[in-house]
Amino acid sequence: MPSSVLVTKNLTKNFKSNFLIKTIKTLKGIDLDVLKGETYGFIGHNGAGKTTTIKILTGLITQTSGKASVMGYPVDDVRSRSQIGFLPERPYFYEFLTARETLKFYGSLNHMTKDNINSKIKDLLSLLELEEAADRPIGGYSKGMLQRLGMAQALIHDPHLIILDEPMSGLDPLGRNKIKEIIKKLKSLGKTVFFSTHILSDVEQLCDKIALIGKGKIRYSGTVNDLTKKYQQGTRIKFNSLSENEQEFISKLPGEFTTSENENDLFIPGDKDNREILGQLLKENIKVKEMIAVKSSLEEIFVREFENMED
Amino acid sequence: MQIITIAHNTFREAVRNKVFYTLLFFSLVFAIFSVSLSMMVLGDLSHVLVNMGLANIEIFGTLIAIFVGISLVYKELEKRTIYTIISRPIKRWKFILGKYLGLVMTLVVEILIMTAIYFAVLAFYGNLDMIPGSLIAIWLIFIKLMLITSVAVFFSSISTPILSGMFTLAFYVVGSISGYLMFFIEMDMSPALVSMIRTTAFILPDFSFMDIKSLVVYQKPIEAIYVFNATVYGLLYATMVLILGIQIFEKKDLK
Repeated sequence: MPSSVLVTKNLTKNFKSNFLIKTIKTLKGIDLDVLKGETYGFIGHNGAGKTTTIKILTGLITQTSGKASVMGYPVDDVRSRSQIGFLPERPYFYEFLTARETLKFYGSLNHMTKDNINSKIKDLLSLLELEEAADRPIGGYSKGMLQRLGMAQALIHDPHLIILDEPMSGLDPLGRNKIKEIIKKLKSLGKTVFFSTHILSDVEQLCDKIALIGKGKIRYSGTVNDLTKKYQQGTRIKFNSLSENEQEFISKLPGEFTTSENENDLFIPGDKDNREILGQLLKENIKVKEMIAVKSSLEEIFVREFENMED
Repeated sequence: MQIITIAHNTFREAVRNKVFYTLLFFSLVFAIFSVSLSMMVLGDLSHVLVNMGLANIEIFGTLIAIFVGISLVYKELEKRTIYTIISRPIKRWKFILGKYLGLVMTLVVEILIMTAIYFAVLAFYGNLDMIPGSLIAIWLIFIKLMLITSVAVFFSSISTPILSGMFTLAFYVVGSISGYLMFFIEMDMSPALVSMIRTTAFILPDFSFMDIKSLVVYQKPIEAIYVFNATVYGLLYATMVLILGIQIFEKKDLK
């Protein structure tokens, strides 16, 4: 069993507003358990509490109550942060520095040696295609370049856990693709990646596990598969051309049978075990072309989960 | 090491900033102007040169300390450059101290350039005898600037640049006149009022300790113990202000 890299227990955060009169409960008890090597998607709409959670994990704000730890170190212990590489949403850097100077600066803050920093910079500039712009001031960088530089600074010290806050936000398809490639590469290197997003297609492609956060609470945590299974609409069995006898047999099975010149399929609603039906079809020697689970898209699930959400 | 990294970066930012060069340019213009002006002055030229030269170093140093200092931490929060720094294994006090020392390094460079010009002017007019006294005066100006910088950094970590600027300027003005506060104590004042004035005078900084221009001008002896005490006073005050700023910044949510 892989060990836990990031754990939070009943994490809450309240903010004061209106001249300290009103208390806003942004997080209402967040429980997370991210295992080593996982790519973990943290999903929620704007204002759900994603960035607040990430800021607690990275030491930028302090939780009101509850516990959070990274690699066994509580998040208020600076040692926890040597294990983290963090890319904030729309990262900002010193515009008077070049990319190379920026990476040297961050490497030095992570207690890296000069030689180590220089060799890491070389690798990262190449990986993130920033070699040509490496000695230009950041002030003239495009959004995509800034995001790639953000990724480079998050990886400079070879951290165990990479936390990315909306890494694909505001990027063009090429830029998004590049970031996705990097996340996949990190996964292949055994790194743990925790990223927040509301772009669900990215989640389906990248994540082993997800947590849905809404109104400051975790609404679901587990695999994408388990979630989509929960919202499975049914099973569709497709057939090649069928004889009249076969059609008659299938029409008597539970489910909805539709037949046309080119297509014959049986739709069995719900999340049932269909092995018995499959057994009957095999017994009758009816050839099955394919059998697919009809699932709701993550987008549909997301909307449904959050529509029914209570405070 | 992390403190040096932050300080070096702050220094690099300041020297790559237009404000630094603008202020340096104006201080040079002012130096030339003061030399030309002193030519027209009746009386001892050396007195005018020393007064103008030291005032020039102090005024432009104070402007850099205030203008750069008040946005030093606030800008990091506003531009969110702080997110990628504090999320690293660095303690917050090191960040504040690094920012502070970076600005102090900038002031050292500014003072060195201005001092070189000032001494060149003194040498040109054959007033080399004013240099040893001036060096001590410049040292105390530097201590005063370190104190003003600590106040600017303190306000910068809790407030916006405009408010910080106002507060730091108020602090500077109060520090310049607080030495006279004790003169307000009169014989028939109530003991409560007297102790209030004494406490206020004790809490507020007193920059008059660090102003020895007149001693330099009239070439009076400057006692080593006096310079030592004024240095310790300035550094202790700056340290306390920094500790207070760090205490507040440690608990601050970086939203």
